[in-house]
Amino acid sequence: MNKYKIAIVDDHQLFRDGIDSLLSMQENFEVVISAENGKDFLMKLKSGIQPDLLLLDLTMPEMNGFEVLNKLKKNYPKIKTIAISMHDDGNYIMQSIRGGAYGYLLKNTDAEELLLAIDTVLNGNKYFNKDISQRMINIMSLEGVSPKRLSPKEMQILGLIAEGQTTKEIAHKLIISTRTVETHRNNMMKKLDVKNTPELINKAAQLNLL
Amino acid sequence: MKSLRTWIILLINSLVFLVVVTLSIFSYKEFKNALDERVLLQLSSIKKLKRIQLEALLKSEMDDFKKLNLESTDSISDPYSLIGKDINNECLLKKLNLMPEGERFIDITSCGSGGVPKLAMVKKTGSRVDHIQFIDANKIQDILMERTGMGESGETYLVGRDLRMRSISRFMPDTPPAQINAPTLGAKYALQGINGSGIIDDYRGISVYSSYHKLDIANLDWAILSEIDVKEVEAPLLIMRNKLFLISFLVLLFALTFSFLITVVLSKPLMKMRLFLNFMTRGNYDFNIDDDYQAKEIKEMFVALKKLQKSIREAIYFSTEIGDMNMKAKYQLSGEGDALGKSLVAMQKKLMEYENAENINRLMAKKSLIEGQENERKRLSKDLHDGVGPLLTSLKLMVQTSELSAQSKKKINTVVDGTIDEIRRMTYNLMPSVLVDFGVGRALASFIEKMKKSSGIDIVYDDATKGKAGKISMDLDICIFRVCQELINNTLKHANAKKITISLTEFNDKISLYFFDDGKGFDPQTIKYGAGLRNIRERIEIFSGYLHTRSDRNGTEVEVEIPLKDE
Repeated sequence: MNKYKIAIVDDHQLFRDGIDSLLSMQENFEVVISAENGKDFLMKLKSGIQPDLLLLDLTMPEMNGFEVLNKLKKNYPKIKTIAISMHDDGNYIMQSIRGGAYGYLLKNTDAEELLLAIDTVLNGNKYFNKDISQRMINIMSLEGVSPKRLSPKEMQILGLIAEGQTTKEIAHKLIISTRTVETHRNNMMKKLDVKNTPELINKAAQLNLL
Repeated sequence: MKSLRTWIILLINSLVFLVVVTLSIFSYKEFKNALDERVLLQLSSIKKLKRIQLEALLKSEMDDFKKLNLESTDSISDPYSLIGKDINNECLLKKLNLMPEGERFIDITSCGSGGVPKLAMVKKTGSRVDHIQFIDANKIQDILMERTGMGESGETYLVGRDLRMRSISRFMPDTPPAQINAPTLGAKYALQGINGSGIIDDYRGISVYSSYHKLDIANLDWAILSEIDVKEVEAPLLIMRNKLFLISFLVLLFALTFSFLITVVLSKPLMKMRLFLNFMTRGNYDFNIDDDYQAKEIKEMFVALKKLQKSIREAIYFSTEIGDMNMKAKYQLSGEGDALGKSLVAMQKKLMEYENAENINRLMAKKSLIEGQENERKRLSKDLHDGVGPLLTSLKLMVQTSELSAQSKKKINTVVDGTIDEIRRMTYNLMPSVLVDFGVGRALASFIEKMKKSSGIDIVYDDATKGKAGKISMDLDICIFRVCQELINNTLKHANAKKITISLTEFNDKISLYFFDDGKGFDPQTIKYGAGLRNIRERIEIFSGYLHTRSDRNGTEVEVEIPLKDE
């Protein structure tokens, strides 16, 4: 029976050793790479060893986990990664998922969960426990949407300006300061290359933004 | 030292007195001279008239006498028949003997007794007296008694060679004239042939105006005098003098009143001016100056004083303001020569420079303090997270792979997990790693998530930052994060709010934070410099940001804008 090849990247020798010994106790796992940072790991990958699964720490010197994820997505898409980090912040979880991680574990996770996660991921599924999922969802709800030509906020303000509302009314409605409304409007005028508000409305109508 | 009022009254009145007295004396003298001249002239003309009448009378008498003598050479056999008994014959003969041949007048009064004047015309041929005829004294007296233009005391009289009168005295009509001695200066001069006029004493010893002349009749040494009492002539002079006294008195009285009024007009404003100046020298500039004066110069003086007061008050206000370090206070220079204003403005400039330097120093000190603090927190957080954290996770792994019983493993793991959680909490409190790794937008998202969970408050958060792609520096990330932390904590602690709205917007040139809670607000007067808000203000000041807070019963609104610098 072929053993699953597992790689560990973490800047702490002690932790790597701990995981190594934990996994070595299992029959079907083999730790093939143990690297102390992303750079070290990528170098070792180039030497030809191809792990099935990667346990990746996020915060490391030289090259951090997110960069490793980006490189893997491009060059080694077959390697399934579980991020294993001290950070319990939703942003780290989100960033890891964006980077293509199959799972996210906290470093102080229990051995049982670690093995469960590895199993789940090796079977082609993703593993996020209830707590991690919750954190991820919470942070997603607050995530801003990536800016297009006009940001959603700008689109919203543009609509209100077109309705003929004053800066004060808009500020009150959107619960932002009048200065911010002014700035948004100035930015829109800059983006659409117009000089005043009526021109802004005209241009926006031409571009079917309204 | 006399007061101004005394000086003015003294000067004006002495001047007026001098003028009045000079004028009075001068006009009195002029009047008197004119009067003297006039009276003497009149006397002379009266005297002349009488003299001519007398001379004409005597001449015609003489002519008649001569004619008579020619017609009847011997008509009167005894020339002495006409001579009364009251004539001393011896004396008469003596006089007749002395008389040369011919027809002439002879004054024989001195030969008569009783003092009645006797003038005779005598014709003498050889040593023989042909004819003697007396002139009727009444005829002479008639001429002299005509007193037109002679006033009350005027008279014309004749004086003979012996300085005795030859006509009846007006004042002593009952005394025979020749008994009245008249040795006056006028009579003496006239008899010596010196005709003239003047003020002299008359035969009564009374001062009179007198015009005297010798009668132009051969062999008759008689003087004619027209006189009038000085007393009478000078009566109008006396009246005039009294009038002058009255006028002088009235003028002086008027001058006194006038000068008093002038002192009121002049010295009242001067006294007021003195009062104001005294106020000013004592450093009191808070009084009203009314410039409602009629006199132009006085009005100008008060207007100038008012101006001075105004500029001094402005200077005082201005120096108080800059003393209170209010550098926005403006001072309008009152002119090129406003040295005080200029030095004050220069002082303000220096103070402003000093204050600016002081502010920069303070900001730099604050900045390095905050940065040092934050760096220390970051270091501590990192040490805990990257140093102790891995050790604990390693420890946990070791425990799990050890030979310990499952029960012991569980016990130890619980403690280790607790420690790891505690370290996470500590590192988060010190410096959230998400802030370092993802920027303030994301870090706030998770902070708000935590707060929502722990407090139950509703927080709406709009994150429009560009994350690591934006231009927000680490220090600015920390600044905004700390400001939001402080604001949220304040709201949770004090505001009793149900909902907080936070929006963070990153523009190309600035980052804008808007914070609003629907709590009970705070009084900006008392809380303005509370530790929390002061902290916020200082952190924003370091980045030259804009902070605006508005708070009332309906909630608190905070606006922050920080410029982004291209690096």
